[in-house]
Amino acid sequence: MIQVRNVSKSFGSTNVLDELSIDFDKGVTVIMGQSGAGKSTLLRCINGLEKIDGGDIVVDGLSINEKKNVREIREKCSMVFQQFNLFPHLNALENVTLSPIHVLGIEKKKAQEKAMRFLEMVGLSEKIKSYPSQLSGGQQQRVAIARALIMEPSALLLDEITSALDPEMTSEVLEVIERIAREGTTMLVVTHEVSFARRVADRMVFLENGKVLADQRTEEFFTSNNERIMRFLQKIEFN
Amino acid sequence: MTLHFRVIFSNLDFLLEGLKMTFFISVFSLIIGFFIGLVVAFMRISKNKVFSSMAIAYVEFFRNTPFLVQLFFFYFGLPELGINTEPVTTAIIALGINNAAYNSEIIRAGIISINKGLIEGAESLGFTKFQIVRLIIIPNALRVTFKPLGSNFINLILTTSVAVSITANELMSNAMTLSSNTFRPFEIYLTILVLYCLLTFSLSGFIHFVDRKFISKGIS
Amino acid sequence: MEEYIFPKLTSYDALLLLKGMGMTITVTLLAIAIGLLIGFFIGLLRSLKIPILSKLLLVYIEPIRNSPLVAQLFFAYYGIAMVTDFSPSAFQAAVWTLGINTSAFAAVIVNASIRSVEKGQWEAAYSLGLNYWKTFRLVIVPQAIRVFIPSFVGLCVNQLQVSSLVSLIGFVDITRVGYMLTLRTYRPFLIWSIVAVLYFALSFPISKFARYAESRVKSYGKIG
Repeated sequence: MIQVRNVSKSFGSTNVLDELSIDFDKGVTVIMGQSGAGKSTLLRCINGLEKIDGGDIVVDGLSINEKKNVREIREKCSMVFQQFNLFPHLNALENVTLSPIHVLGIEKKKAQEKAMRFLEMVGLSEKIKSYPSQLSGGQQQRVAIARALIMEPSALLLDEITSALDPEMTSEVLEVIERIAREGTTMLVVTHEVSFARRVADRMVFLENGKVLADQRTEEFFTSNNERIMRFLQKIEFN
Repeated sequence: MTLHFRVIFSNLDFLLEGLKMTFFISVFSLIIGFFIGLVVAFMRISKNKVFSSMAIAYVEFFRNTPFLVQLFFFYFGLPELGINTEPVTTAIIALGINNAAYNSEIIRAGIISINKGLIEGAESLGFTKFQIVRLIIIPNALRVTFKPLGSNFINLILTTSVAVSITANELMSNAMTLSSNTFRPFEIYLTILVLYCLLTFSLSGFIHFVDRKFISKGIS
Repeated sequence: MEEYIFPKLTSYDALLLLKGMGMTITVTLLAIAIGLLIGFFIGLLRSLKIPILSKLLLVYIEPIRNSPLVAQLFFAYYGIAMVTDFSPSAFQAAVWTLGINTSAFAAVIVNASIRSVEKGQWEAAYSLGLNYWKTFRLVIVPQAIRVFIPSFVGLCVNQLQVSSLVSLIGFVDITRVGYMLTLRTYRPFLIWSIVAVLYFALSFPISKFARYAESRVKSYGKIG
């Protein structure tokens, strides 16, 4: 359960999040909006990568304003990045087992067994000893997903995870996400992939100028009469 | 222990003479070092194996032996062959030759960094080899090499202090002479440390300024 | 010609040169050790970008990097003895001055190496729950060290060269031995050639290693 309360965030003189309030719970929430509307920033504030200027974020009862909570919040909210950010000096298996071993204190053997299960889930059981430089973009992103999932987070934060991939790799990654979504993981997904959102999202959130413009069930969102939303969807679907 | 910086002030003239000599040596070494460096850089990238080997040997030798030893070699060694040496001239030539080795590597990197496409484009437009060098290679190489060359010049200025070993009457030599005469090494050496720093910082700032204003302008 | 090539140089002289080499290597290694220890600490602190601390550390780094080693050596050997009871030996002055000199350059290399690791690596590690030290140890260091080693080895080569300056405060390294030999044999051309070759023999292999290390850095992937 993630509660965002009146959160404000500025970068320099630019106000990116403007007293934004929203709650996230079970299910897949897709967050959309123009570039600069604050989508990524919102995600990054939730797991403490950006410090909020005002307001509070409460994750499973833990307030992000208390420094000692930040680490635990990060364990609960795993993030997958647009640029993958895999550790290049470690192979796929080591990338995935790093945090269970060093953060959760799980014994190496157990961690490896667990990691192999997740790598199998994302379809990469043959590539466990491969290094990131030997993997395609889609494969790297799938390792990144396994790396995030092994922490068994309360919520998975996906920040434009297919924006750096070509169409073929994009679909292989989205396929994995769909499968995970069906297992009931809470997900916050920032994306431009409209058809994916239509298929998988339970809830659509539309941000503009750092505020929530729309927060609706998927069907309602895509059949909305709101002029702003219709214009946005037209523009995206054109691409 | 009381400090007598008065010593500095009453001998300021002498120290400033040294500073002037430091400038003198630096500027001439810079000129020699730049031109030799330029030649060696072109030799290094030449397709002629003899030239490139000579250039490599030159660079490796002067970068893997101490400048002090090179200076002693020129100053004390050449007279044995019948060539008379004098501290300031020897310092200038030795420093120039030494610095050129580092310059040539910087210049070489600058030339290599130039996009082949630019040159091919110019060639297809009918420019002659000389025009290409003048209008394309030099301005673009300058953009990449200006700051490193500037930084190397600053190193050169600091290295002039090694000439104290042959008493070339630059700043360090004069400071040592003064210290022997007045027995106040602490004040004297502290002062010249500060002097060298000021010299370096201001030159650094100047280079940065020139780079920003004139060199790094615009495209490509 | 025969007389020129082997003039009055005895095996005792060769021994002296060897001892000088030993002294040069000792001073250089000690200075590098001191420089690395202090420099790592300072470079690490600088990489944290703590507002006032970063500027303060520059007050240490910049003057040392921007003043001549000769002046630093003379100041340490002659100047300190003048104002304190402590009168350093040439060895002590040589090692500590060269060491502190090295530390300033090392600090810059350490800082640059740490900063060379892209921000996303820190973010990925943090978002997995790793704290600063675990991230630094497990994620950043393995990557930073590849950038660090070529530069640092280059610094070591440079410090080996400038160690010759300690001869000017009377410390008996290769250069000082060479100087003493020229006084005795009046053969500076030969002696300084030999000295140059000795330094070259020490320095060139290390230089080559630095370049080899640098090329390995560029071909990242396969090594892991």
